[in-house]
Amino acid sequence: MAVFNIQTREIECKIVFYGPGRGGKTTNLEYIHKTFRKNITGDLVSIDTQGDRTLFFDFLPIGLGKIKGCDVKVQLFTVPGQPQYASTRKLVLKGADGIVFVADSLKVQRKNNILSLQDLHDNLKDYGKSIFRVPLVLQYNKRDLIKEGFPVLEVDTLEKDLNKQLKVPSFPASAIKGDGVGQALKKCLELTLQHLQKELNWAG
Amino acid sequence: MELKEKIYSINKEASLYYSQGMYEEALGKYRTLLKLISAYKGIKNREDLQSKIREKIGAINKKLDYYDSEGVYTQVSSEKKEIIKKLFADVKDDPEYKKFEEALTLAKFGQFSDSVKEMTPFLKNDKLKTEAARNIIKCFEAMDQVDKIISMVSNWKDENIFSEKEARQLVESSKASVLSAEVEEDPVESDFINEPKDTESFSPEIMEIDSVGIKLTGSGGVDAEPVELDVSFQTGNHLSLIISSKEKRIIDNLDVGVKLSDMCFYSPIAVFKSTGIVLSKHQISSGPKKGDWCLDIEIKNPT
Ligand SMILES: Nc1nc2c(ncn2[C@@H]2O[C@H](COP(=O)(O)OP(=O)(O)OP(=O)(O)O)[C@@H](O)[C@H]2O)c(=O)[nH]1
Ligand SMILES: [Mg+2]
Repeated sequence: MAVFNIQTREIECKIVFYGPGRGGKTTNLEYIHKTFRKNITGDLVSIDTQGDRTLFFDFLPIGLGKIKGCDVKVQLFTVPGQPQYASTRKLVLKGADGIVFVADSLKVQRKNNILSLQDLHDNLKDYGKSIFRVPLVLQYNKRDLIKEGFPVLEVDTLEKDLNKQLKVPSFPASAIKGDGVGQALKKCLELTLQHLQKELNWAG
Repeated sequence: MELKEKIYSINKEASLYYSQGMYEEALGKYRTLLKLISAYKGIKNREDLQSKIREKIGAINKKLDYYDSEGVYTQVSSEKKEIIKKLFADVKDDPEYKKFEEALTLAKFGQFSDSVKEMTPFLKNDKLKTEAARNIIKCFEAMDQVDKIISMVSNWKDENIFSEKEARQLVESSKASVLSAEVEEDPVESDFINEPKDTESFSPEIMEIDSVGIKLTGSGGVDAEPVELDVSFQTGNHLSLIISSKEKRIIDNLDVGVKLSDMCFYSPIAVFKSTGIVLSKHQISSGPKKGDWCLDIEIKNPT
């Protein structure tokens, strides 16, 4: 839930990276942490990992500076994607102002992508939010694996599977190389801030 | 695709899945590979390859077993607990309530024993003690320590944090309710109950009563048929009965103070008759029996 401090003209919002286990959410945050140094306002915290699967969440605070007279701070979170962490995933999603859904382009993850999007839909609904109205972008990750000859889904297939009804902005990406990471985040922030401007009537 | 290429490509895929922590998928590929190699007798170093793949499959299975054996929640460092509290406890202006929220948050993130530790001081806070107690009980349930709940609640009662009735409600709404017949019997009475029963000592104070038969008086003063009700809890000659919310007629007929002149008490070894009085009646507000009624009856002189 965004916090808007009228006195200090500070706004703090929450973006959650959601998606199937092993899809690349943590790698997204690691890349953002490494690359957008001047926006980073604190450490990247991982709570906790086993192998490299997230057990609770990752957290990275960033600052966007002044936008329309307001100091904008953003908390980036990742959820644990593995099915068994359903209740933690739902807790971390709570109060999200915007969502980056990281889908895995690997063919073997096709079903998991769909299940995870369904899970997002259900959890949002439980929080009284609609997936059709929440600021959301899709990221089709691990596109770099095409070149290496691995079985990867076509973007068209991913669009049909995940974005046929949502019709939200989508980005082919490689979190490991950084391709598409910034674009997806920027778009998500843009949508989120537009949404908040309308809701909070800020900058009016 | 030539066999060699095929082997190469499946192996490459399996290694990728393995390196990305997709163990089930890696396992599937290694098994396919093993089958393929086993089917072609002419492959050079065939046995060598087979044993290498088997080794990999064994290693993956070990990893999967390990992950399966780990619970969903692991304990995190105290530094990370502080981060969890800071990020997820709803900020309240009241600093005491904030501490309460933080303790709740720890439980939500599976840090049960720490939640219990931080929640315990709130048992002394009249406004928050019931919620604190419920959370502590839930933590013990989550830690699979249901057996500790009864003695803990009993201590709370001894320390006058909760009344007998409140203590009973706490146990009833917990998973320990199945064990609740053991709660609050003072040692003297328990000794009595455990004594070998001889026919001389049939008296409600020392009998274990399974169920009671009550004759209800119909609203028009007409005698209605007797109903049999199970005893959910007994201390001496005080019995607690749980009545389903569907049994409206029974509930309506049994108000506090109503004298039950014609009661049957069924114990494992005998049936006896006596009179009783309704001491209290309340609707259960939480837990699996929510909505049902709890009725306390005192057994009067046996006949
Ligand atoms: N080739 C390739 N590998 C990637 C990419 N993104 C992530 N990976 C790898 O995929 C694996 C899983 O990545 P994570 O970032 O840990 O995935 P996650 O979504 O956080 O997974 P959970 O924490 O289990 O939900 C790691 O081995 C990453 O190195 C990518 O763009 N390309
Ligand atoms: Mg992760």
